[in-house]
Amino acid sequence: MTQKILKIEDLTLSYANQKVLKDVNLELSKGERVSILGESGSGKSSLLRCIAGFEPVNNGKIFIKNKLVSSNNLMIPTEKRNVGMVAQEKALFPHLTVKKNISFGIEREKNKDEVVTELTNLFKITNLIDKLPRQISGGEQQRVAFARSLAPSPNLLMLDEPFSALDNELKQELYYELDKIFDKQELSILLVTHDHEEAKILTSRLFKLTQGSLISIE
Amino acid sequence: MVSWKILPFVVAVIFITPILIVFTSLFGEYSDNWSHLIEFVLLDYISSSILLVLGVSLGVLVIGVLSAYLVTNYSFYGKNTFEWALLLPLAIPPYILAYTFTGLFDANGDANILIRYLFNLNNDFVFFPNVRNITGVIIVFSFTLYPYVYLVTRSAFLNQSNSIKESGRLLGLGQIGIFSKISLPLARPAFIAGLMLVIMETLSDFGAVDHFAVQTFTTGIFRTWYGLYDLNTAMQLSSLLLMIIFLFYFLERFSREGISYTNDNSTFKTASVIGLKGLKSVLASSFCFIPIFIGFILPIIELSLWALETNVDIFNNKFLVGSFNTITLGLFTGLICALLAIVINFSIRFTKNKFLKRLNSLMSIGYAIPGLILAVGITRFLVFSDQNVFTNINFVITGSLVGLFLAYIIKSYALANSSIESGYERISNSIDNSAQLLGSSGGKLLGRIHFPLMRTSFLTAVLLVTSEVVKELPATLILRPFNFDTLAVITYTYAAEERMYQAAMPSLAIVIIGIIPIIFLTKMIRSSRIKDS
Repeated sequence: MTQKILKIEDLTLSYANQKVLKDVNLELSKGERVSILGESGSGKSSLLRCIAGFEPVNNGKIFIKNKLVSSNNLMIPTEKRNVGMVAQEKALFPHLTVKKNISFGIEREKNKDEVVTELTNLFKITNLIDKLPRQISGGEQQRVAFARSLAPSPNLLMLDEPFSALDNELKQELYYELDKIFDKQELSILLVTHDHEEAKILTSRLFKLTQGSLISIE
Repeated sequence: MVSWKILPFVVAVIFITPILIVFTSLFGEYSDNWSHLIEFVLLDYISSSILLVLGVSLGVLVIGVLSAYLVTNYSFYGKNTFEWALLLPLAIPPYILAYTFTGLFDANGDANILIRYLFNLNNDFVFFPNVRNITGVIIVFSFTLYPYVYLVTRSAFLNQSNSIKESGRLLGLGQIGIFSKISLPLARPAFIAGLMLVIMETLSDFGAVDHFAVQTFTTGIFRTWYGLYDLNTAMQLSSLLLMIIFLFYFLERFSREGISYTNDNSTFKTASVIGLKGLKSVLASSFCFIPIFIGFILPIIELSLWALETNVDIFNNKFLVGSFNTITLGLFTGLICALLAIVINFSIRFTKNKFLKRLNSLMSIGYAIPGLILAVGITRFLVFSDQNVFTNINFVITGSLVGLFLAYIIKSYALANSSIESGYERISNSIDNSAQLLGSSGGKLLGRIHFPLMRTSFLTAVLLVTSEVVKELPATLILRPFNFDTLAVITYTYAAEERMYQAAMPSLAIVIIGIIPIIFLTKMIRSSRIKDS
């Protein structure tokens, strides 16, 4: 039986009496890739923030690897959920080199050097390891952000419009490379985007979030 | 265009000459007093100065950084008040807190009397340890100077994007890890810059160390001049101290250059504030309240009680004249500094001359120079001028207000300049272009466009300088004309005679004047909070 990585049951989230998410249900198995499409402000990012543990939920439950992590009276801290996220803003640590950024989440691991080497090879950034984030381009920064989030082998990798700040050529190049990497590593991916084409290239199941409700579209 | 370049040069020469004069002493003769200094006191000056710097650095970092982190990232009882109230000790000069401390904690101080009264103890029972030592000075400096660190560090914490902290949490960091591995390293350039200012203030201080009888370079310079009557040796000692201070000055400049990397994020997300409840909230409130209590509330209560309890006429002629002198000197210096800063910054903008910009930055160095050393350099400068320039016209400037104004302007120009510089940053270059296309150039551009747009910055500059001048003690003590008193001098004189009750009212007046620019800073902090929310 395929292992369930993420299970969301009847999730509801409100801000100031306005419902952002209404009874959202979603399941994601190991190695599965799912996209959630939607307009700006439709609640896509809020859903990811609930899964990451940045937002408390009003109602419903979130399970990660069959363990309850969020409900109306429980909130396991983000750092204990072992999920990764890459967003448009990259959020690299500006005071650390590329190498230290990537190894940040696995500092105590014995094999951290091997992991960093593997990921830098995978993302073709070996020549950048001693540079600071401000010394590399936007596209390179995004590769580092991906490598950093994969280093701790997260249960689930969430992508919050990570390509929206990149030019078209760079996007196509990254889609192709990431598709291979995700397959190779059997990663469970939850992608949030407003770009239908991007969703189709990178994921196999597509949903749409409209007025807080999640609807399967493909 | 050329005329706009002349003024900054002239001002820079006037600013730098007294400092150079101090350094020229290194190439002169060395008197026999040096053997006395080396044999008996120099080691004390050095060791106590080092100890002082280390102790105060630790104190201000713990108080300033932690309180800034708490008020920026957490919500707890009184957080909104603490945000601005943590700046209040800036209004208390270290020497006034020192006077309050001895009045409270000496064997017959009010705190010991209160303890004896409450527990019915003998009159010779002393509960609080002696504060007239280096530990006492470290405590006094830590609680009066930590706002320098708090102010810049809070700003650095506010500028840290939440997405960076969230990344840290996704990678396994808890609250302590976020603080120690992300927020603190990112804020390091800021709090190092604040720390350098604190170190410069600590090394420059005269009033507090003199009151606590701690031997440092500044008390040594004062004693060599006024005790041994050896101005040349005092200048040579000053040169040594200046070299150390310049080292910290350039470290501070270097640190400031690194601050920008925390603001680099175009997709900035405001930090989410974590609510603290119960004991955690009480602990956070207590941590923020203690420095405000020791650095501001305690001295205000003590000084007010002394002022009320004393039977002497507090609004006597001496106090009124001293107040008038102080406010006049402060406002006049504030106006001159603000005008100089606006004209010089306009020259830099108008001529786009990078050398003028560097020269202006160099002129700000006066802030780092101890008032005592400035007084030494200016005295030599004035004596030289009297002997060589004014001899034929029978005019003497030594001992006049000229020296005092010069010292104040050199020392306070940096404050006015920073305010005017930040004001200019808000005026777009396109406004200049439009004005020039419409025929307003040079003086017209300054008078009709820039000056009206810079009114708030100008007023802030005047107030900042006024409050600095009001507090300045050593330069005033040395350079004031005969029988010319300011509030700081009156306070010092009374405190030196242990007449603390009489010192209370002028001290309170200094504090009240010092609060005015803090109100401005508070408004800025509040507006930053509104923007955040």
